[in-house]
Amino acid sequence: MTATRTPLTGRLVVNAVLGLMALYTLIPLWWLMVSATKGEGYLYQGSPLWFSHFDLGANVSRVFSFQGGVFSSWLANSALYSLVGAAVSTLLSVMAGFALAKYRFRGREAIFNVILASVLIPAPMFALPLFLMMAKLQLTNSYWAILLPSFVSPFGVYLSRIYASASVPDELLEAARMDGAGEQRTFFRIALPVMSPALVTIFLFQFVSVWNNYLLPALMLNDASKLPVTVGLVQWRSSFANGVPPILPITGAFVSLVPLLVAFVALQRFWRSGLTAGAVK
Amino acid sequence: MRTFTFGSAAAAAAAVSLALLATGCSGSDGSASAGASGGASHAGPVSMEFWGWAPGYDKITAQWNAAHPDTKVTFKQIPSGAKGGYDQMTNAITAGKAPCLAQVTYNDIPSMLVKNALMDITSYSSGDTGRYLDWTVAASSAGGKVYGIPVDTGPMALYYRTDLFKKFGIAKPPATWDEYAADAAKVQAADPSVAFGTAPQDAYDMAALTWQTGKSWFGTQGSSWQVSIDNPGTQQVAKFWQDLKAKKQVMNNGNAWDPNFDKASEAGKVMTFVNAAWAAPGIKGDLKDLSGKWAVAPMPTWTAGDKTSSNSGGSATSVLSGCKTPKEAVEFAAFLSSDPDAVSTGITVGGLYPASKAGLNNPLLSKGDPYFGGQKIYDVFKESSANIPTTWVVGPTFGQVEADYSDAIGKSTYAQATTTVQQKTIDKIKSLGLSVTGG
Repeated sequence: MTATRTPLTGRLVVNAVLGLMALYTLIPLWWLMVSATKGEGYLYQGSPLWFSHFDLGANVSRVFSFQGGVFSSWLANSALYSLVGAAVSTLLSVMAGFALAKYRFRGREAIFNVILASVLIPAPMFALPLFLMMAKLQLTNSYWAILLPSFVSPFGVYLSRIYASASVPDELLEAARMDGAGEQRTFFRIALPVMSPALVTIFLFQFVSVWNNYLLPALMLNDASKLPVTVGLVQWRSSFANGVPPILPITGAFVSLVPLLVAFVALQRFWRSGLTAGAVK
Repeated sequence: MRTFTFGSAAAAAAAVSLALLATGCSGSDGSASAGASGGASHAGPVSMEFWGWAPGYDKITAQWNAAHPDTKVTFKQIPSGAKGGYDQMTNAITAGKAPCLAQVTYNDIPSMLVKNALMDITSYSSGDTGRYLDWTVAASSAGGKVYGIPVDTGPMALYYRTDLFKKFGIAKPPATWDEYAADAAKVQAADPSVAFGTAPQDAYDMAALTWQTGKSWFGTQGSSWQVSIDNPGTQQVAKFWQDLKAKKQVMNNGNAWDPNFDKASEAGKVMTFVNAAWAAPGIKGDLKDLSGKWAVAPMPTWTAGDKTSSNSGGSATSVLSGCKTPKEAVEFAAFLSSDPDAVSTGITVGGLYPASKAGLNNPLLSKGDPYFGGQKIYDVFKESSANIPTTWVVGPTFGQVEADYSDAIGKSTYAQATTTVQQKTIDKIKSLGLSVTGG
């Protein structure tokens, strides 16, 4: 932070813009929450942004019982993909980032640049090539088709490397080695705890991106029992003409936000300290 | 019968992804007896899968299982055919993991035949076909062979708002399309923000409206397909609706089950829609507040005094290639279509209007419906059902027609869209390696 204070009008403008952005982001969520509580068949009653015909309980139980309770398995699948995907990718990212930051070897910068480049390519661009690869491996329509790609997080590697160079002092590693710790032990016992804020950040990012991923599972899976909640809800959304009430995908979308909220609230503290820890060193 | 060639079809037609999926799956062991546990002789218990998407099929399957412990059917909900359901079926057939039974709409039976996906069940069902409406049997057959047991039909009618008709001083629902246009103009003059009806949105709408004119989009001559999407009937429909759409007398953003329509409906901004019997449960479920305000009248006709109606949608149950227990599968399909309890479930849960002749006398169909102000709406659909022209022929590429039509309607007038789709359809059928003529 620079010491000069911005003038009052400037701050007002900035805050107004930020406020508008916040509204813009929150209104759809608010609408979703309000709509999810409206009784089936009364979705279009009253103001779109205020409660009427409150019947959230019935909606939720309808969501979980519709089509033989397929929604629960969608949620379970999403949880599986996100938790396992985020956990493994966090570990791999931290290991790779640490190695890139702390070991000197030929081609290190080249590898890092390639990883950096893939951060710049949006994930959906990889979906079709991945689908073609999985088809060759005969893994489409299996859990692996979603899990394997979510084990990889170029952004996680990038973040780990930056974080490792900033917050894991070489002296610390030297000291560990002097005391006779092997490389594995040094990493798991010394470096990993120091890097834990970065771990949380990477985990959260990856968890959210896998949870919200739509294109990849939509391409890979066609078995309703393996779908994550995102693809399942879109299937409901496209079946209004075939007897799916509009309230179901709405309430379903609302319910599917809950695990994300829980993840954020639970890990938020670590995350915030993680983002600042490197900066104020 | 017409011979369909599969090889060239799969190569050129299917999207890249589809073709690859097929190759991806074909490696897995398809030789094991998948799905059926019977072998050649089915002395022991049989189990089969049934894939579909119509509401109520799951409950009907449960009813079957309760009555037939030795022939267990497992229902699997799949996305509707056009939304990927058919791809799943054909992929599963390639992989040797196909279900025995599947829902296939009349619109798509020829396309599934082109893909060699359906089994000839003539020998199991020939004695039975007299139990179903003739045109549905024709729609489920090709070259004299039966490829599906008809389940339901979509007789068309005019749904209208009695309260709004009163408000705008319209005494009775329009009996002809001329009256429809006149009423639409009257409503617009009184309140420009109110739309009289909904404009056709896609190929389903265009097909149903054209069907009423007695013209057909397809025909066959010898072993050759004839494409006649761009026919005088379609153009008549196109001109009529283009005019209403241009004058903004009908709303142009959604069918009766779309949120846009529901919203406009709640606000009293749309007064009618023309659609099939199966649209009734949708408005009943989505617009509970409007109970008592909707009614059903016969579909308007092109000439006064005429009763010609039309059909939109409807499905058959087909036996997929590779099924090892076709006899039991056909028994199940017959149960689904004609068992009185099954028909009742279909009507209540899915609004499925039966294709079985006996089903038309189901007691549920003669009951007044409180939602429709106590009106016996199925009397209207029964008359509609009896006045559906039998001239309609379905072509071998409905998926393409549907996609191209929806696309073209969004970009140009109905008339131009029709001309475009005519040409694209001819090209598509050619690319499947089938013989085709235009006109």
